[in-house]
Amino acid sequence: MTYHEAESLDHAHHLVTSRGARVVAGGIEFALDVARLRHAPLVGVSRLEEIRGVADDPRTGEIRIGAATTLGEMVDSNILRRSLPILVEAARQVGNRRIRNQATIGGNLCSRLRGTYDVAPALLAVDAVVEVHPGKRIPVGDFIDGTDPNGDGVVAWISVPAPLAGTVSGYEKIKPDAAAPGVASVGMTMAVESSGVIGAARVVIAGVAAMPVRVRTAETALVGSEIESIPGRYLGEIIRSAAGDLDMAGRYRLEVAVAAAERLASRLRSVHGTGPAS
Amino acid sequence: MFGEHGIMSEVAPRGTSHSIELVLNGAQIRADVPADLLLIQLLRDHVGLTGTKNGCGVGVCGSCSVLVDGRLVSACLVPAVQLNGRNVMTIEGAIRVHPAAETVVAAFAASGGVQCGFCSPGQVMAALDFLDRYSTPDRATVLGEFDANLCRCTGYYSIIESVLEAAGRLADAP
Repeated sequence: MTYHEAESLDHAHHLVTSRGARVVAGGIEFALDVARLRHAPLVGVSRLEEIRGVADDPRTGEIRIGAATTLGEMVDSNILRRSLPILVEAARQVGNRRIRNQATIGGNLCSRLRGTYDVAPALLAVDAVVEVHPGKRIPVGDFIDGTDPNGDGVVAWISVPAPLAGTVSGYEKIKPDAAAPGVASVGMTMAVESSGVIGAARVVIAGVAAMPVRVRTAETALVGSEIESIPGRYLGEIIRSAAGDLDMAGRYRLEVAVAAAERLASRLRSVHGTGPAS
Repeated sequence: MFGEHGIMSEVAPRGTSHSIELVLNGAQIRADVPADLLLIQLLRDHVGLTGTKNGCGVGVCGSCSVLVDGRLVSACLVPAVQLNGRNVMTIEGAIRVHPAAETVVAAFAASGGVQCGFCSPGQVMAALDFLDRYSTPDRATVLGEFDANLCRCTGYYSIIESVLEAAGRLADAP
């Protein structure tokens, strides 16, 4: 097995297409699964400066996160804290501080359990697009559902439309203890007009089904409501009624997701009341 | 340990080996490592630095906590081949050069933060990282943020006390 440190995105892409190399970012999944991954050549992208960091691009109206940005760097990002607190809160839920110092957002999205860990549900709630070098833009829902992460491209950036003024967002996960992976979680974003009326909303629950899902009935119900007047219970009822057939474990997880949603809705109401989180 | 020219030659090649150079506890070293060698194996099996403990092997327990370029990571999850040009500090190096290490170790001893000792190197590394970010933490901050190193002996209360004691001693230091 050979390891190449990528010199550029093009170099990484060349090794993927010509040599069948697998892309390694932080290296965590590789370390955990050496036996499965040891046979292919590897190309490391974690040091590519061109895909590191968080940038606010006013020309495109997008906030872009480099695929090699660590989850710890996301937690510390002022741009994300100001504009997309949901991504900060979701990144903070992954693993522990040591993991977050090593894990990258791109690696998380390409990992074997990529749909389940908190980054993907939160990105789904903010309508993110995965930019795969060269030249592809894939909505994050499609990416985690179908795209072969070791296909013929290299995940380079994750782009999120910059939220409208007045948008509140957050991520809430319920887990039995700090080291546990969590039972269920909810990500929510609401664009609140100056009148206090919700103009747009996205609600995603994770942990209940195999993949995170948008709860469109809840989104529809939120739009047009006053943020101050949404009872948390009401949101919970909608989420319950949107669920299809679930087995016993699924029903339990659904109830946990409902609790998380009620908690989050209440928190976002108070965030709205006090202005944007600093 | 590193040979007379600081070159480490004990790592037997498995498949293709890769030459890496890194700073380990302040000393420049070179090693030839296979791509599947993990940092914890490099440290313990090849360099002989056994202060970094092999616990869960999956990044949960924290007993292999080390600093890479100043960031706390689990050595069991870091492929050694990715360390070319990096700076690695283990408990052995921290004790020698980290300005707060001696105080933190003394605080753990004084507050009963050590019983069997297996988790202690990792606890100390994590405490150094934590106290670097929070110089005057309150108990709630320790409870909320110092939550990722397992201990099967103490029940954690004495470890929380140890971290608070260390913070107090460091704040009082001239």
